[in-house]
Amino acid sequence: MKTYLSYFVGLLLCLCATATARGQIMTPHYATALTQTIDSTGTVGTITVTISGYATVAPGVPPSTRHTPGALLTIDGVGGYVYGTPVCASCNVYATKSMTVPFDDQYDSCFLGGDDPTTGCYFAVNTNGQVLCTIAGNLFNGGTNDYHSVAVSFSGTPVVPVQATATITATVTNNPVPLTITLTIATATGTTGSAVFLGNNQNTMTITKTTPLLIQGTKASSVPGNISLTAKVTVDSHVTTIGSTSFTVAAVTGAIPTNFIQVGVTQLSNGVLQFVYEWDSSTGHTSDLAGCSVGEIVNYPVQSQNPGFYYWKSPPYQLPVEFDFRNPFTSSIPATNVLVAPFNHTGFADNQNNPGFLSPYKADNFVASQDYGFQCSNYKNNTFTNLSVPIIIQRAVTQNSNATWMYMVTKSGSSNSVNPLP
Amino acid sequence: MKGRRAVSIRVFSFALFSFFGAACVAVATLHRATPSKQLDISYEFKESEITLHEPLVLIFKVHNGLDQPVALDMGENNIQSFEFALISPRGQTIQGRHQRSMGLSTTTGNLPVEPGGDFKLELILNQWFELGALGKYLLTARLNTAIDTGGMSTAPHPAQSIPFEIKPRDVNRLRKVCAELVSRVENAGGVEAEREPALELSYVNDPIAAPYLAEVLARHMLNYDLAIQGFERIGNDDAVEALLSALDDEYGDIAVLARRALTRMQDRISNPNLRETVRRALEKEPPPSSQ
Repeated sequence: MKTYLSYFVGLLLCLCATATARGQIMTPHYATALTQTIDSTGTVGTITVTISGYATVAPGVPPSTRHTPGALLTIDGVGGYVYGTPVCASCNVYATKSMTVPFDDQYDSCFLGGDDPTTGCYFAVNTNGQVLCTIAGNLFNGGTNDYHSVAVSFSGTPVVPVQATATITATVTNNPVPLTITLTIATATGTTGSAVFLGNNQNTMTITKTTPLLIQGTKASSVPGNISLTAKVTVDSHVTTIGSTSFTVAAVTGAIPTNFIQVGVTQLSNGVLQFVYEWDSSTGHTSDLAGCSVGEIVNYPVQSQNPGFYYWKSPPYQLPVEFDFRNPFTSSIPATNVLVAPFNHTGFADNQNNPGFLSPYKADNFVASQDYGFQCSNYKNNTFTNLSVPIIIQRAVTQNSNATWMYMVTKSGSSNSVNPLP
Repeated sequence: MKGRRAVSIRVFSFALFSFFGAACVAVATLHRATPSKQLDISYEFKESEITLHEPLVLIFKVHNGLDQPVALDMGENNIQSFEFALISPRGQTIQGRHQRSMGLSTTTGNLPVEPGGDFKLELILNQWFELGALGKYLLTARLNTAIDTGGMSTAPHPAQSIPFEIKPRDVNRLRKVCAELVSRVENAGGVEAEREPALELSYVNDPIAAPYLAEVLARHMLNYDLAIQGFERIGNDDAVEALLSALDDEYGDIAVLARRALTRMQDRISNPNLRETVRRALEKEPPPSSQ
């Protein structure tokens, strides 16, 4: 294989963090590197991520301490971690993972120094280097998203009022070039229904960065959700869709929640992952939402022996009486709820929690599907109207290579863990 | 041996009541000896007299007499960081249920109280305890997080003890309480204002509450989900019948929520005929749950 390109692009040195485990200090000196090559035919590209380095260890750290390196590589969501050999705390670690992609006009610009460096990249590459310590847990994390594809996600505005406006935020990620993104509103199904961008009163506009879009409903939808909003980029004559959403244009009396969007995510203690969401009002005044609530429906796997409940597998989980095991789990809060600083906006927090852990641990892996939505007395008789597409929440307890166990929760591309489990 | 321990617990309990009864009356306030420039934290019961199966509402009060703002961390939904313990009429110490962070939360951080400002919060103690016995109790209340008074400093706020007594069930009083709560729900004018009285009503764990919960459901008040939870807690035949009727209600997701409640209750319906009726009702095709 001919090395066409070989860039050491993602050197992430971590010399600053000092991990303290039970009073014993370790200073990590690890680096994650990302390299890319193209074969002699020019048709296959290879991406490789490597984690290497060592830790400086203060006296007192037990000699039995082991560090396990992990190299994460996913392309368009496929792939995962490869773990290297566990070594002593001060020893050099090494783990590497490679994957290939077809190399053509559609993909070549994903490679730095490719034949068209001014263009974007249309596959998502996630990398991470990780070092797990038997006494300090996750000692190091260092990744890169330089090669994420340009993408657009839209906030949740399921209904745009006729002859009024609603906001949809188009969030643009990984567009450093930047590429011009064309947004188009179209009637995807049904016979009627239309909307335009307020400002140019057209059904197309262009953006390059995150932009709140003011959408005006012009004709009511004949079927729910029949108006599409699509984001596309054109590179080398290729037109690629990089995001889309849909909404209904409908007559609305009073206010309904719009522009539902994730604004924060925090890793809390005990493996809890906290998300913060905000929303606006279709009238522009959130105080008008007094007749509305915003809530969630979370569907867990069905246990035929316990209809109406989902009891987490025990062990590895505890089953405390105060934990709410209802299935589906539902909760809601008033749509006028204002979060304190730094948010100072209508919104809520949502914690992805766990009921606690119970040894002897056993492997477990399950997903729940979460829908956010609103209910308003002035809209469709308080029917639950989705503000989001279903969101997958995955929880897993797995055994580490050193025989300890870890818990991980993952949602919307974020995760939190307890590693090792106590 | 067992009897002697019971006596000693009763003696201890009596002594505690004598002490706290004199010291606390209904309101326990910190730092009374220093009249100014202080942070006052107190707890008091909303009602001076409480009968069996009424919701038990405790008011948490803060007055910021300091020159700088303070920040209160009450945890998720402003309840998670409160810790309560009870000494029951039989002398047993009962720890309040830990309020786990489940579902959506109205809060994300600390709540500021400006200098000279006041903060008041109503806490429904039935969320922490089952209060099923008559007699004299001693409640110990505590906020388990530090109160930030700026910079690195925090205000002390030790646990406070408040005695109370649950008197015998009074049907007329329960009806009055329920009617007042329904009236407050009706006149609230929005989901947020409705929520507190609706939550209180849902914790009237007595069959007397059934028609009032049914009214909240039938009139499509916006916190009808709490009424359904109240029926689920009561769990008697009337509550089950009300939920069966709600299966035909096409407003919002009433039918869906009633169906889920009945599904969870199936195993604890004692009336075999009613249990069979519920089983048949649940076999029918469920209504759509969203748009």
